[in-house]
Formats: sequence, C-alpha cells, structure tokens
Amino acid sequence: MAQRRALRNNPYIKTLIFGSPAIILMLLFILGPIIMTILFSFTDIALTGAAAKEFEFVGFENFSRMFKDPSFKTSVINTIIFLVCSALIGQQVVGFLIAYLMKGKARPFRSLIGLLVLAGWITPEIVVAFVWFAFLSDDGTLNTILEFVGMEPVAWLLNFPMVSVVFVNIWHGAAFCMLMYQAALDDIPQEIEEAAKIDGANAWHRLWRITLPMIKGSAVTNMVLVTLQTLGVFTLIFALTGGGPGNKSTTLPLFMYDEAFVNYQLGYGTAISLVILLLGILLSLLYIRFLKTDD
Amino acid sequence: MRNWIKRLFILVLISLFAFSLTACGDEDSNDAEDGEKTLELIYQAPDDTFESWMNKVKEEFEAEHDGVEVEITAIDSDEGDYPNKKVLMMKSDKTSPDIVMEDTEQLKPDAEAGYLEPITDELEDWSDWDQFYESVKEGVTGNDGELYGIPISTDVRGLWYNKNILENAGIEMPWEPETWDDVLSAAEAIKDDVEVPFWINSGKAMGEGTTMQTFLPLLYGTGSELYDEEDDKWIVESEGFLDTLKFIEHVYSNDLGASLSWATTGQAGAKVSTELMPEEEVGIALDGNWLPGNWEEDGNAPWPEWEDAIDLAPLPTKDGQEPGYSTVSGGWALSVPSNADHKDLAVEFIKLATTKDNLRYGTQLTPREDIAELDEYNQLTYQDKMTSFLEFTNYRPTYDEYPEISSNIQDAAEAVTTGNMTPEEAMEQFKEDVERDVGEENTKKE
Repeated sequence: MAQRRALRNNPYIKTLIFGSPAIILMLLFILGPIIMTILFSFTDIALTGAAAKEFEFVGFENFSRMFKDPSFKTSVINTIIFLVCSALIGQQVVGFLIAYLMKGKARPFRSLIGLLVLAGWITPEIVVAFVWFAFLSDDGTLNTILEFVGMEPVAWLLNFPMVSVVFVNIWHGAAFCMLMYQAALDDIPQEIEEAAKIDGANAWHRLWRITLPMIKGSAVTNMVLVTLQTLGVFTLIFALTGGGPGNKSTTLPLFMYDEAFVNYQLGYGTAISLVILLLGILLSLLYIRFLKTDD
Repeated sequence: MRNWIKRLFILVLISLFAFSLTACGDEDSNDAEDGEKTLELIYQAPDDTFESWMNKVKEEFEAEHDGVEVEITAIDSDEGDYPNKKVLMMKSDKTSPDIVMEDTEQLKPDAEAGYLEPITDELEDWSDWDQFYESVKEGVTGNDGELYGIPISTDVRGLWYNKNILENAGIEMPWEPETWDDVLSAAEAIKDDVEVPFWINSGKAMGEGTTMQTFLPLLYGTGSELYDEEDDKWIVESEGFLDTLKFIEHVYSNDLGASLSWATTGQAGAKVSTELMPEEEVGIALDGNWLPGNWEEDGNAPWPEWEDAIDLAPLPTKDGQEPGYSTVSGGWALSVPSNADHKDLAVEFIKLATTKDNLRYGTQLTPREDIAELDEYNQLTYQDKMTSFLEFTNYRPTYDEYPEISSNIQDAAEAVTTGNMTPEEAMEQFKEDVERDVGEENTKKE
C-alpha cells in the first residue's frame, strides 16, 4: 500500500502518464519521419519504376553520388550565398536598422512604419513571389520605370537571378527581425543609456558598447530562427526563377525537389534533405557556441 | 458548478478530437450505400476536349450499366506535377481511382512499379484491338510484354515553316528539306528578315520538350540511338550525339535561333507559339503537331489565317539517309490501376471510350487506323500529313532511368545553346552525369 502511494506521488511517473499523449504524438509525427528520412536516404527508393516496388539498401551510394554531382556543389554554394546575403546580412541589418531608428520615435510614426514592414512579412510566400515577378519581369513595373527615365530595361530574373531572390527574401523577411530587435531594444533599461549619455558617450559609443552587447542574446536566437527558416525557403525561389536559368539560382531545397519529384529518385532526394537538416543543426550549434564563449 | 462546466468542456473536446481522428480514417470505398458503384476517372486538367469526350462516354456507359456512376475528376496540374499526384493516388487502395489518364512516358515505370493492372487478355479478345497502329501499341506495352492500357492519342514532331517568309527569301515552295544542311541554309537565308529564323526548344526550363521536340528527333536522324536494347545499356557517347549537339550549337552561335535573353526561359515556348508565330516573326519551328491548336478559334492565340501562312515539313535525317525523315512520338493512354475497386467495369469503360465511333480527342493524332481513314478526320489541316509521319517515327526508351537521362540531355542542350560548353565538353559532361546517375556498368560508348 505504502509502495503504491509512493509510486502515485512520484512526480516523474505522474508527468510521464499525463504527458504520454503528447509524447506519443511527438514521437510518432516528428521523430518517426526523421528516422524514416535517415533510413530512406540509404536506399534507392523511387517514386515509380522497379525501385518503387522493391527498394534496396545501397549504403552510402546516394551520398557519394551527391558529392560527385556538380549540381550539388552549385546548390550548396547558392544556398550559402542565399543564407548569408539575405538572412544573416540582409534581414538582420535591415531589421535592426528599422527597429533602432524607430526607437523612441512618435507612436503614430512607429505604427505606420511597423505596419508597412509587417505587410511584407504577413504576405504569403507565393503571393510575394508573384508580386515581385510582376515587378521584375521583362515588361514589369521596374523596367517600365527605368524606360520612363530613359534607361535600358534589364532582364532582372534572367541576368541577376540570385540578386533578385536575395533581395525579395530580404523584403519578405526583414519584418521578423525588426519585431525581434524591437522587443530586445525595449528591454534595455533607459537608465543605463542616460547614465552613459551623462558620462559623455556619443551615439556611436552607446550603440557599440551598450545596445549591441545587451541584445546579443536575442540576436543569436534570431539568427538561429532566421537561418532555419531561410534554409527551407522553396516557394519563393521556385515561383520566381524555378531555380534557373540553368541552375544559377538552385538552392538545396529546389535541388532536392528536382531529384525527388522530377527525376523520381526519392532515395537520393531524401539524402539531400538530410544534408539540409544537418546543415541547419550545424549552423545552430555554431551560433549557440559563439554566444557561450563570448559570455 | 464551475468544475462541472470545466469537466463537460474537456469531455466535449476529447470526443471531438476522437471523432475527427476516426473521420480521417477508413473511407474504404466511395460507393453509395444502395449498391451503386462509382467508377472514378482522373485526368490532367485543364483539358476541355478530353473532358467533353469523357462526359459523352460517361452518359453512354451509365445508360448501359444500371447502378454505375462514372465520376470524372480533374487533377489540376502541369505536366511536371501530374505524374506525382497520380502516383500518390494510385499507391493506396483507399485513394486509387479506377481509371487513369496515363502519359506513355510514365506507363512503363508505373507498370514496373506495380501501380497498373495488366489487361493483355481483355485486349487480345477485343476485335477493335487490331485497328490500333502497331507502333502505338508499343507505348502501352510494359517491360514484361504485357499490355497496360489503351492508347487514346499519339503525337509527332516536324518543321512548321512560314511559307511567306521562306518564299520571299527565294526558297522553292513547298519546302522539302532533305538534309540538316538544307534546314540550316534555309534558316541562314531568312536570318535578316525575322526575329527568330529557326526555333528549337533547347533549355532546361522546357524540360522534356527540349529532349523530345529537339534532341531526340535530331539524334534518331543520325542513325544513333540513346539506348541499346540488346545490351540494355544507355549510350553516353556516340557520333550522332555529338552531331546533334553541334547542330544545336550551330543554330545559336550563328544567330539562327531565338535571342539568348529569353530562349532558355520557361516562357519561351509560349512566346514563340502565341506571339511571334502569329506576328510572322518566326521562319521555321521544330515542334509538335499540337502547335496549330494555339491558333484555332478556341486556342490561346486565335489566328484564323494561319493555314495560309504555315505549312509543315518532316524533319530530314542528317544526310538524307534512310528512312529519309525522323520524328519521335509519345501520347496518352487510359489505364487501370492495380488498386482499382472495379477493374472489370474500368476495362469496359476504356474500351467503350476508344471505339471507332467514340474516340474523338480534339485534334490529337488518332491511334486507330480506321479513324485515320475517315474524311471527318482528314479535314483537319495537315492531319493526314502528320499521321503519315507515324511511318518513320521513334519511341523514347522510357525505362526507369529515363527521367534522369532526359534531365542530363537538357543540361547538355542548354550548355551548347548558351555557349557555356563546346559540344565535345557537353557530351563529356553528359557521359559523366549519366555514369554517376545510373552507374557506369549500365552505360556504353559507340
């Protein structure tokens, strides 16, 4: 009897029992697919053909094939360019600047600018892609304006595909960074800045010595979130350039789609998706590490 | 009291959750309760001519079979997505339709994967089966020799040329090129007169169009093949392959093709067929038999006078060697998935749809000899000419690896089009790509 009561009062058992529905669901729908992904990436499973009926384990063949594939190299390079330029530099800097410049400004002004920037963020990716396609296409708005002021029209999506998709992604995602930084900046106690001001620190010093160090934690969280989000961007690029021309704007998600659903090589596609997953984990660990050593 | 409300609330929530889970589950068959049978057919939409044809057959079929309802489901998708959506539906017996519209490009792999039901016995007992062209039957034959569907259409490729433009340049009408050089010199002659002297699909963005409309008709005209049926190997290096790439390179490096600023984009095909050809800015276009469909009254770019301006010539072989001309055919079929609920009824339906009286699929080339002889069929412009191309046509080696091989061909074609690679480099790259993708042991050089 006493034993039973002890069991009943054990907080771990209680947690386990009451948490079990959620835990089972998580295992089933999150961990399950990840394990399946890892398993399938070592097979030659296909969407159709003989390998759809009976697939075989092929060891590391998918991975060795990937590293020999010049398209894979191009996609990795494009992914890194896309990630660094649009997410790490573009969205972070633009988002921070907007948040910083708006700090302490009049409320109506803040709401108006905030709303405009947010509009880009709440617009679904596919709509963003179509809006910008209309803006950048050969006889789109931008070229009409260029011609009006007497300049030569430019085939933006064709001649500058990476620049175009990077730019559009900055436009689309900057609002998220802005929100994060706004919250972080609001958390800095007014007194510290005032004290620094009295001590004679100029605006530059205050930004460099006080603001940035104090929001470092939020910045890293932000980096992790934005990185993972950007690694998975598919719709935007697919609808804007289709990864082309050639494979000039093919990032890893598009490359994976091509192999899995255009060439029907599910096993190979899964292996590529695993690489994306690993890349995301690796980068996240790197940021967190960076945060810790600095503290 | 409050506690009581809370408990009730939780109870309702849990039962709602449980209910929704069961609702997601078993829905074994969509048959109505009173013994009625529902026969589901899926097709790649939009395709108005297919839909209206099927609706007619549905009416006749339902009148003949009491208690059977035919449900025609449009799968809105482009050529790239339809195969995926279709396969995912066929994979499970819960979602599988009873009849699928099947591209003959996918038929062999889908049969190999076990998605399709062999219907050889049913067709061999069917008196109409003799009326189908032997060459078209090849498209519905699986690797195991069984039949997996009934063809509903076939297609060919040829040289669509503008009579006015060529005649003004002093070329004799009707234009009958006998070698590749004849084609290129005609394009050269009209080079300064039009925006696009000679249109060929040669970019990755056109996908299979580049392989099938341009590369393979040319390749088969050199006497080379893409696949060695005897050795079961892909041919990754041959003189014909190199000649084909050189031809494409010649077109673009001599400004005989479209401007490179748009030639390799996904919009290029539509720009040529719906804008530039009606504006008489294209001299010659190597394209499929469906091209004039754009200019009909109900097409994308109605051009009532097109018959006065445009004529069709078969693509000659490289040096005029036997059989003189070259083309490639594909086409569509109706098949029965192996997970279908009502296989016998499904076979009955597709037989009824493809009888001499019923098989009317817009302006598509017919797979039936007896329909090809009808006056009504031959009244369509150039229909008899296009049908005659079937005598020297070729079919793609649509084995499991074909989509990857085709992708690599598109890479090679685009590389020589943009001048990023010489034909020799592009063929070397193709060889490396294919050896990597299908394994070196499955390839050979010629």
